Amino acid sequence: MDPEDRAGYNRRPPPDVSATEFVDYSGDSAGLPFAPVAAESELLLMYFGYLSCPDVCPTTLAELSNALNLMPDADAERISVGMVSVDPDRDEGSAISTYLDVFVEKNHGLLAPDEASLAASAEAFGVLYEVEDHEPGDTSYEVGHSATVYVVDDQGLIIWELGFSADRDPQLTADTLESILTERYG
Amino acid sequence: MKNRYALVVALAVAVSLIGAACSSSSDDACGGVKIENAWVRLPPGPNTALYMDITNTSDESFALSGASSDFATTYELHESKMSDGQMIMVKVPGQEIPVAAGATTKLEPGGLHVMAIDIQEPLAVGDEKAFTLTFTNECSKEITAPVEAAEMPGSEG
Repeated sequence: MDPEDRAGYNRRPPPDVSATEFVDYSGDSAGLPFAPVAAESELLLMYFGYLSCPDVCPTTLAELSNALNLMPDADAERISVGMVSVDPDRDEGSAISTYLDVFVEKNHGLLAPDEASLAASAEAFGVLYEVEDHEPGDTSYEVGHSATVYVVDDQGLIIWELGFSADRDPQLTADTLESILTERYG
Repeated sequence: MKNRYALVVALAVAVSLIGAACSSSSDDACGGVKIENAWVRLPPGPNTALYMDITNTSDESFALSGASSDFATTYELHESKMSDGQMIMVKVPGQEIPVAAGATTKLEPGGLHVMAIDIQEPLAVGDEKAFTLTFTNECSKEITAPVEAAEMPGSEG
């Protein structure tokens, strides 16, 4: 695919997010610190959302899931998905991992270690989020968040971004990811 | 048995005729309400969304004003939209989704949807879920909607 035909866009220079810190709650890595850097010659798709989100978050994750299913296995296996919850009061780490399991096998359910760290990480990515004021135990508050998927390479650089789309063709997303893999790693 | 069945049918017809004669009955009010392409998203979390196309074939506008079913405790009418670079979900003002006379309002991913909050039972792809939709024209309509995993109905196949 010609890079001009890809879905999404990039920023120049590519933002470096390798120094941001999260805690991973998925699989064998559960409880371990996580830096958003893809494994060698792989891509990490990072997303900030929350689990009570019934519309935008599952639409995005379903698009990624469909796109990965359309890619050759050898390429799809080089892509993992990390989701950071911006709503730690409601979302337990293990629940984020369970949520991601519905969509993608290679996943990282992530929380920031604390509120200040989440704010710093969001700034590094360029994520905006807002959680409505609520009392402890209240579960019916609103959350707003950037719904962009950040494509991170094995150096921790955001080399591509996919903005939210409710009806993007998953084949276009798959071709875009293939094109990025080829361009970045040959 | 046959006769009893015939009697039941006759009674049902009689009841429906009585209903049709009464202008405020829900059957009558639902004459202009057409629901198509309804589906429920397979919920990965505690909440999910119900989508559909609502067509108003009458010459009076109406609005969807609520939904209910037995698998979630609360239903709200919501809209996802962009605001200053953030995708936010807001409650629809007045909890009414208008459908103009002769028009179709689409409830679809990334836009308007019925939010089902606090799901009480596990859902699986292929389940058919019954809902009651209520409208401002006094129509109360029963529908069933399949549970789908994909982001758009039919896109997985």
